[in-house]
Amino acid sequence: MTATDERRGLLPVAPPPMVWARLSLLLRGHGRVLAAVVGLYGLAALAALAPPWMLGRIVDAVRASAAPERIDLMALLVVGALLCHAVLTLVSVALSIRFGEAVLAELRENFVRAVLRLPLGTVERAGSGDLMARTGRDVGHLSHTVRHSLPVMVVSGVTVVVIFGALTVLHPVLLLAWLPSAAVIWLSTRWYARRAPAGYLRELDTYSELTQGVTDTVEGAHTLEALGRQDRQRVRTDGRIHSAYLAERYTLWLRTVWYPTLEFSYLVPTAATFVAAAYLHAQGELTVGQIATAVFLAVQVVRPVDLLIDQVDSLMMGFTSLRRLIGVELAEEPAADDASGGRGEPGAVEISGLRFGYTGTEVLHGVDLTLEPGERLAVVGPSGAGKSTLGKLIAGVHTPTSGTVRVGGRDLTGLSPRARREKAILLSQESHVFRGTVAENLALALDREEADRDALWEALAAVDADSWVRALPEGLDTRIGSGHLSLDPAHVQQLALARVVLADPGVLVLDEATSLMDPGSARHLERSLAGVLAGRTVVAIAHRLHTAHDADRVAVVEDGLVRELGSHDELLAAGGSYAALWHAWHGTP
Amino acid sequence: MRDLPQPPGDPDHRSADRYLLWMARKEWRALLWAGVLASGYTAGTVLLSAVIGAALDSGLDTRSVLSWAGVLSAVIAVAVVFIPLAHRAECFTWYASAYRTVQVVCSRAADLGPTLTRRLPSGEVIAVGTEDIERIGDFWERFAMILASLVSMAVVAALMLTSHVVFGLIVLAAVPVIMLGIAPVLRPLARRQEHQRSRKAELTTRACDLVAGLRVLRGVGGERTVGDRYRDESQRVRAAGVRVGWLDAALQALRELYPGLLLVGIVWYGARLALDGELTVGQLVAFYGFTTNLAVSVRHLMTGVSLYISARVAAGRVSRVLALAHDHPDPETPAEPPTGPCGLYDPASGVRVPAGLLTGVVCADPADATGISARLGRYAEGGHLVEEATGRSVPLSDLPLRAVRERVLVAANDAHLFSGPLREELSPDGGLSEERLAAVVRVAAAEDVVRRSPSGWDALLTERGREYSGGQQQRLRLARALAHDPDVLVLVEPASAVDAHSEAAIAARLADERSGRTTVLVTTSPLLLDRTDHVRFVRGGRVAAEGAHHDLLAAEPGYAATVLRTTVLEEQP
Repeated sequence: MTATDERRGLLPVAPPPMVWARLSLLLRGHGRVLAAVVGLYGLAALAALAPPWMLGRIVDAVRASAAPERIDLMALLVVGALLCHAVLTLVSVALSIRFGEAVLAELRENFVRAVLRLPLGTVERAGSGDLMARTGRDVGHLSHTVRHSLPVMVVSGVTVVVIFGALTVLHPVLLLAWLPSAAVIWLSTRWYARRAPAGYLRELDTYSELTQGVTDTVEGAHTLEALGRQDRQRVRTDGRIHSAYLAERYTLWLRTVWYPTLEFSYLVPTAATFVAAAYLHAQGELTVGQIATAVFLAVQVVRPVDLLIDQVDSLMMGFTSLRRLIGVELAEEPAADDASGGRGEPGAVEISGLRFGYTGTEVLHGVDLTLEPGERLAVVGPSGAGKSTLGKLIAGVHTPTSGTVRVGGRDLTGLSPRARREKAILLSQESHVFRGTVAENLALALDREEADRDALWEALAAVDADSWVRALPEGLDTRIGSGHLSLDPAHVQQLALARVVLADPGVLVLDEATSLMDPGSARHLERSLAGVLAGRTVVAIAHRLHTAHDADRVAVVEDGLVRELGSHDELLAAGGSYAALWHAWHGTP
Repeated sequence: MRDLPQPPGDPDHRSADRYLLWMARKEWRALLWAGVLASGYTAGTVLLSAVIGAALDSGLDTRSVLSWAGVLSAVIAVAVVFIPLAHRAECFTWYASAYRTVQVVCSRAADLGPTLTRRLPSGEVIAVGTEDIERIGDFWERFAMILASLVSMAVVAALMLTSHVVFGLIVLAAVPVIMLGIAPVLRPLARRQEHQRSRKAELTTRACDLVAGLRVLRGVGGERTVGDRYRDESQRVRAAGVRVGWLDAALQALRELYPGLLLVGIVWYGARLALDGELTVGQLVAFYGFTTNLAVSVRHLMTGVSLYISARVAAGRVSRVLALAHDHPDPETPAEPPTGPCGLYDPASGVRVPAGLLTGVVCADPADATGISARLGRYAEGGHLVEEATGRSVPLSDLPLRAVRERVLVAANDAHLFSGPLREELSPDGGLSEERLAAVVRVAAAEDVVRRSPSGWDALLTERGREYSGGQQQRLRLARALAHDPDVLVLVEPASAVDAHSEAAIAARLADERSGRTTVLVTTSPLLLDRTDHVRFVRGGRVAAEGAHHDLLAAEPGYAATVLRTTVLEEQP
């Protein structure tokens, strides 16, 4: 089971009916605006019929040698109609954009709300790859669809309806010219729409590969040059470009078939309308001027129909993205039940017969461990032995396969995040600095925008970070994170620890939480932290032996089992693997 | 269609326009061909208007109606044939120009190495390789349509001039007037769009920030604060979009109004002339058609101008990357490169590294460690390569960069892991034998990293190996450096994120793996130093003591304090 396999499909995709239900709900919410847009644009489209109508009337007037004043009057009327059209277009297009922006904001805010409700276990297991793609690429596609396609669809749809209405008024027989075209457009678009999504998905994949390649090349330029791999990277870039090109060639081929059929279906009715109108003229049903009007109405239909069909790709893409965005809601954390369950001593940890495995392979094979409130336990052992997994289970991130983990007398997995955090918090090696000020970053732990400054300084002092924060250009108000001041990894870890100090849980699990600091400072920090956390239970997973030396007890985890357990001195006396390491570290035999 | 990518050639990066011009010279055949095909289509649509006019003048009896319908269909058929051909040619110009830009940017980035990220933020360069290529591609794709619009305007003007001089002149004068008439909207629109773009970018950054920190948010708290901030920003994006919407709508309205007014003017004036018998009804109808053709061409031209403006900005960014000069370029007259086994010498600190031994370098101040490894790797001036046989010392800056890199590898923890199969990532030439791969992975104690994937050596690394923990990534980097097998290997804190068990294993195996080769371990880890042949202890920027690890531990309290991170009193367990 690879990490990528583990991730694949973990975040669900919403079934189409769920998307449709959501969309109809949205439209109902904005029904009035939508009706106004359609109504106003309908009027605008009517006004746009003035020029071809005028052409016909003027042609007839000329043929009848009418008075020049009649022609002047008609021209003036059309100028009036054009001005109306302009104003109506302005208002209705602006309204439709406003409608689109509102819908878009609602959809993306719902998505983020759902993301913020994902269970911690899902987040840990899924990693950030899929979610990042949904946040970046899918929100981007949806925005494109809503911003560009939605107004175009409304405007073009109304225009097409109005023009066909006008043709019907002129003479219903004229619509016959469009019948074969409608069939051809329908069939060819269906042919295209069946093949296109797969083609475009492949295209997107090849482009994200290409983007990944560019990112790698730029961020890893240093390494490429050090290892002399420039030429190899050039070949890889060319390879990625080539696959992007092949993917493009496929969709290009689809369009090469589709476009001419469309274009043919637009232009043939122009000729057919001419023949039909001329026939009706011969029957005395249409004037010469009306022939001209009919032909140019047929020409005028082309652009909106083309625009409508152009949205097919965008709509398909938008729908797929929407399924992925709404899908996150399916993984939301269920409402928790905080009330039930026994009361125990805060900070006590009782683990018995604990077994756990990620899909398939078992990592922990039966762990028993009891921690007194206020005890500090160091967990050491080789990579992959199950130390981090044990930490996650103590913090209630995952549910055990069998056996029990009770913290403060209860099982954490059923609790709400807020209640769980009061009992236990896991802090891992990889932390994150949010865009914002130092104070905002710390106050997250309290989930308040503004926090008591003294409390923040106290927390910073507890993790030895007060001096460098004071030295920052604007102290607590210095902006940090992506795009602002970037902190070195050791400082990031200190901020993460300060957050936990503010959150003040009963049990604190530190998974290599000081590994990126230089060893001297790490030890100093751990000592000052111990002072602040007196009375809290601390489980420290560490690779540095001084952490173990300073702890109350040490657990050596190997192959998913606790192999050695006792105080530092007891383990040294026992002469096991811990003792061997300690002697290697100190150069003593 | 040609195959892509082609060898990119040597770009002209003196300015944005020169870069665009260079691309045009490279692809002039494709551009011209696309222009010809697109012109075929637009000229066909102009012809369609002329045919409709002529047909109305034909008397409209059955014979003439049918024959004109035939002509009409023929013109349509020809225009339809041009459509896919032109589309293919236009797309090709997009691919060719965008891909060529990716190639030259990536190629330059790889050659610049550390200079690149020191001079420009990597995000900016990545945007060049991903977003700016689209702008450049979009412009060149549209270039054919710009040519075709000019051609169809010329055809319309010529047809109208031959029918009636005044009409021809009106049309020629109207095009620039319409374009100027829209200009007042364009400037504020561009400003508001810029505002919207930056707000959108901020929102995306915020969302990505939120996702990247989701573990923290769900683990420690802060969902409400962050969620509220996102909602506020999202509402600002909405407001910015609505502001753009008004001008966008105005632009659309004007785009229809101006050509509409021209249309009315032409038809009105034509009708007056037709009443006087100077024009036929068919000509009047044809003029109506020509004017609608003209409106379409004007629209294409305006899109072309705005695409050119963004392409120019993009090309400016591209040429800025291409024009960067290397911080530590090759010497003009390179020195004779040393032969045979070599050691290293850093005069600034006095650190000497004899050939063929495992040397530990311990620095009391981490800044010294950074400086020494940079000098020994020619990332800063001052390091020397020492020929073992003769004792000749050659300054690294007197050797070509490539010659140094082939001999000396400085492997630090900021080295990047690339996406792709594990085997390829670890092998210096792409295809190391499985025995050798297994050997280096064992030395780096990274067997568990390979074992966790069922596809073994073909497992795919994604996004800088993010799916692996910090310790696992570090061990993969170490395995890669060992597989590279350089004459001189400088390892900077190679096991700082590895558990003590694995670190002890690495220390033992590393000494065997590199036996007889020049190896430097810049570290303070006692587990690693335990296996070195000898150690240099640097304090205050200079070598303060030299000797075996155990001797220094016993004799140098400062050394013991640095290595054991304990005060002397706490040293005994």
